[in-house]
Amino acid sequence: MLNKQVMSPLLSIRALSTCFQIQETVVKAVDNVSLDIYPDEVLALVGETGCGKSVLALSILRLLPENSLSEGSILYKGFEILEGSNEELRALRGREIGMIPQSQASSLNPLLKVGWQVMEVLRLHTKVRKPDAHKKVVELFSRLQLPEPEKRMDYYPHQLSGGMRQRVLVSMGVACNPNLILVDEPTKGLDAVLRMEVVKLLGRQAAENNRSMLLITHDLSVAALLADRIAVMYAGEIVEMGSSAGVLKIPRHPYTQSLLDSLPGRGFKPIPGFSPSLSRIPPGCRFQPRCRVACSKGAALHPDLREADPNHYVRCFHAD
Amino acid sequence: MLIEVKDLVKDYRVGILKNRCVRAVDCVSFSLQVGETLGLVGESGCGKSTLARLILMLIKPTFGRVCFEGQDLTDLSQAELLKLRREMQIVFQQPQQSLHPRMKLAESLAEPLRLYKLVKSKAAEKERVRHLLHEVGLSEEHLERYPHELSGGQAQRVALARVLALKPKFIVADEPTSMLDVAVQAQILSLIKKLQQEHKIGMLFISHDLEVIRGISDRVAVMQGGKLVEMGSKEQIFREPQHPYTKFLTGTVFELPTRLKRDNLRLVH
Repeated sequence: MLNKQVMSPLLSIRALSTCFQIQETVVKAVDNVSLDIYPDEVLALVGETGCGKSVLALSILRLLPENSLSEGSILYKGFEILEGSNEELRALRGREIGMIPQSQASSLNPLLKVGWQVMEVLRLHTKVRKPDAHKKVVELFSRLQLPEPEKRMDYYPHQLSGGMRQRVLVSMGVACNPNLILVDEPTKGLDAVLRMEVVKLLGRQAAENNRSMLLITHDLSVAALLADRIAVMYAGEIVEMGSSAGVLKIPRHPYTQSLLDSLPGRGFKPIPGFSPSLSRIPPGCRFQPRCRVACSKGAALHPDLREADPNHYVRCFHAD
Repeated sequence: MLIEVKDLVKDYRVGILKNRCVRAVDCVSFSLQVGETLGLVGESGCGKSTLARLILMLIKPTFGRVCFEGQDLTDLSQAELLKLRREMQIVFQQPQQSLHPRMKLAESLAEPLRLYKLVKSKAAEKERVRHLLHEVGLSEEHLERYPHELSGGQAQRVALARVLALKPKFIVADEPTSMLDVAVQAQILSLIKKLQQEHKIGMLFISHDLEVIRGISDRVAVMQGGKLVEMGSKEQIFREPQHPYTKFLTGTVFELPTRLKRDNLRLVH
């Protein structure tokens, strides 16, 4: 384990809030999130569907639609992303911060050959000539163990299996050797065998070039397998953050505890109730209505994220 | 015996000239008791869903027999099958796609009741629909919604309510939670388990997720390349897997927090 205190973070997010204006209402999808990603570190962001995980990732790359507004600060190597111009952002995306998007079925252009699509990233960011780009992509494909890489260059997405398309997306995300990769739900809908394959693929990507990774997933075992640290998100805010082992072995927040109990291997005990709609967030502790402790303090007051153990942060009145 | 499947085979002709033959399901036999859950596990594309559709006669087998309560389904007419299908139902993987996009939920839920003439009056129909909604944990405000206004978990609850409306004796659940996240998955699984026990329904539960299979099944069947390679009680399959493929599959399940050692990609428990 690296000594985090002496290193400066690669990406530093402070008090980030992202809102969407939908007709008359304002929906706050990400609320006051602060986190750091250090060099050579995998940070997993876990939480239920709709808790704001993907919006956070898209905020980092400023890829959100026009009705959105991000406030706070996102510093990448000292560069303020929220104030970046379009050109600066284009230079950043793919080159410095790569993204492996969520769905392998809908993230590729169905009308273009996959080789061309991966080459596009290279040709946009580096002054590489076409034949060299071609060579480089074949090399990438073979490194990702895509069978017959030369032949696959000329395939269309529909001619590839789910696992192969996933590898094409990974190769796109890592083509320019970015320092930070944002990976959104890489194992959603994949079977156990393919899931393990993707996990190993990502693990290898992180290890080989000392890249940092923000891994967004709802799959806690994938997070456990890959992440150094885990941040748990609920209804737009981080409720617990700490080392992987710390969060999974000694979860301090009732939500993390309930989430772990809802795993099939632990008897799939469901959490009562539903996550609040992001446009109707309860005033106090957001998890209070579903919480097993459900304290009266939490019904009225909103807890802050506090350091309960060294480097283990919890947003709960009962963490001490 | 609720369901008895004997030597079931399904061949597909593929290629431009339809001259190549792919065997999707290869000589599968098993049986299912009343109220029992058989978990069917295997990789994507191993023939799990084809098998599910064959058992319900949604597609015709090339060879073999399927018996429901002793009655052979393979030589029944469509009309006779329709009658029997009230008692054997299926829950699909993509809940939002298995509901009619232009039908409000009230309509969707009433449809099976009307098809089988299970209610006598409009009032009785309304009452039954409301009862079904409560049973799957939804409220009446959902009745006026369309499928696209629901979350995946809610849509799956509606699909379950539609199935329950018919009081079936046998359900096939084809990857009902693979598109849902952990928390919603737990809600749906415990709901399925509860309803199944209350109504004594026999269930074939298909999943590629071994943890889900372990959580819900009484017995487990492992499928590879269209064949059942191993079948046994849940304990046998997970504690003493015999077939190498079963061993391989059960090897992909970890206790938390298992860590992947990144420098050489070993697993550290």
